[in-house]
Amino acid sequence: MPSSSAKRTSSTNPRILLALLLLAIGAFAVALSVGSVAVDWTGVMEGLRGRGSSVDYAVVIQLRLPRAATAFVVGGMLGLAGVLMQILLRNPLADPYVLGVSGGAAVAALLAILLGWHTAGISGAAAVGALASMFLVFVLSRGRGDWSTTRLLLTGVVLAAGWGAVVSFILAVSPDAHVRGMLFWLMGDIRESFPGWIRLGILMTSLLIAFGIARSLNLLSLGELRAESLGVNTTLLRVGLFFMAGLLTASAVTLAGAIGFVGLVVPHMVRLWGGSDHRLVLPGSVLLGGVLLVLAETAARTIMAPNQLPVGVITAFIGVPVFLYLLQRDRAGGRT
Amino acid sequence: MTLLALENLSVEISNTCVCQDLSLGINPGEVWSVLGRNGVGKSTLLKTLAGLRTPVSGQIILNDQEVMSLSRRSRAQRLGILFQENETLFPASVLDTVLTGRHPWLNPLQGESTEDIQKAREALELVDLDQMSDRSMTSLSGGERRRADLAALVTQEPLVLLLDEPSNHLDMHYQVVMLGKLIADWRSRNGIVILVMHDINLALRFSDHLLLLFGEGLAESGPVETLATEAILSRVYNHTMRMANTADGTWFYPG
Repeated sequence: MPSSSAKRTSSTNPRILLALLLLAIGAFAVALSVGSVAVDWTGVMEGLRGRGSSVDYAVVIQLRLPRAATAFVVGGMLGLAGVLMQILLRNPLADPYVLGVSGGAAVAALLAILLGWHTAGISGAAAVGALASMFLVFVLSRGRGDWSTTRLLLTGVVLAAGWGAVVSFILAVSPDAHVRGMLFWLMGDIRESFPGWIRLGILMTSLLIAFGIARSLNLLSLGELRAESLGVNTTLLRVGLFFMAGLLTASAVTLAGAIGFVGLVVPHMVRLWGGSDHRLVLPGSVLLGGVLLVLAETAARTIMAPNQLPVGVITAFIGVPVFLYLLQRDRAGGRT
Repeated sequence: MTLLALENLSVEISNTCVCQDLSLGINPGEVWSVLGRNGVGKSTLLKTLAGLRTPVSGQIILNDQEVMSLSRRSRAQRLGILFQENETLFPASVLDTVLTGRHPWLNPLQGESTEDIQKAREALELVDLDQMSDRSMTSLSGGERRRADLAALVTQEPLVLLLDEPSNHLDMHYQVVMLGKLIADWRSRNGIVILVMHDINLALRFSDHLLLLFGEGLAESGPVETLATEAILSRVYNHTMRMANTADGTWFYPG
């Protein structure tokens, strides 16, 4: 799996994070100025000063900004959830959806679409489905006393596969009128509404907590017993990671469906860039996940304008080749 | 003055008895070796001493305090353990890995100070890896990785060093010189070293006391001079052990 030249990272962290922050600002600038309508910025400025009601203002502030903000928050959540999940499952291939949280959300959301519910109802159903699936995995994977990584992973993967079958079943029996909406939900779809303070709060709180225990996460990646021998309460840490990653995934999924690849690829990209210290990987993955999804969202609504593509398709188109390239480059460097 | 005491300690693993009502006292500056056949429970005993497993019954007393009652952090400040195998999920640099030893001494949000980095660099010098501190752990050889893990343990500065087969992957020179230096260091600090080793001659070279595990809960402990005999060691390994006297000392070899 990806490895890095692994320099002592703490000293270079601020520089990399600053670069990512600039990248984020750039991504927002692109997202606001690119689209099917060319924007006249003086109109936007006047709109901001409260003068007149130009079309430009409406396009930029009421359509593009909320979508970009949502994309950034969802991307950040997925990036962070990906890091936490990879540590929790001790598996570099883990992504936020591997334990079936998105599957549970998808089943509930599709049922809601089938029942003809509106956007809010679909989101609500997805949230209930995601949380229910998360608790189900937690309860089922708890053996007697011991909460082993293998058992957790297997329980989650099996449950996720089960949800996948239910999703196929619903798609097969639903009337055609609903199927297109369902497919868009499944591939990930970002709408013109702001992410909301609660989700922003979940992201920021999770990042702060995770950053506070970043050193313990570094130890956990050296092995559970070794972390324990250095004074880390690994049982508590792993339960915390499970629920934090689950909550982040549930929030992201209910906001934008199951957008793939961000949670898997982004943490690896940050590690390849700056090393494995979680004091960098955690905030770095939030920023890079946000950047990637803002750009993907912009591409999704411009490439085939006026038609919109599901953003999940774009993240896959970006994520797969980038990841393969990074893996190849790494092998060429003699470190696998 | 006993520093580490086992009181009626009984340890079990998957219904096999490692030791039954074992009591012994270890003084500051002493080096002990645990000898026994494969699967007799040496590593399990070491993990129990490190406070990572709960014994069936009995107590482990360090400095008049029961080990299991210590907070995780103060336990990690006093007891350090080198595991037989170590894993890496994501590659970190050698220096970063060695710095993990400072974890028990840092507050949650505190970063490593220059003093911590200095300690890590001194430990890297001890294991002869000071030229490789920026290398990735995954790019090291097995022996080098073993030395880096030992350096992490030195950086942890525990009073009691528990080493599970520290000579694994090490060449002769590092087995004798580096481990020798490390053990002498802990002796002079009045700490304790407990070794699990299969190389009986290396174990005898370093230790002054032995703890012999015979299986089924049978154990014997005492000074090297009384326990290192052909008869007793043959019983330990269930294999004839012979002794050879040379100008350089006494050596044991399988018959």
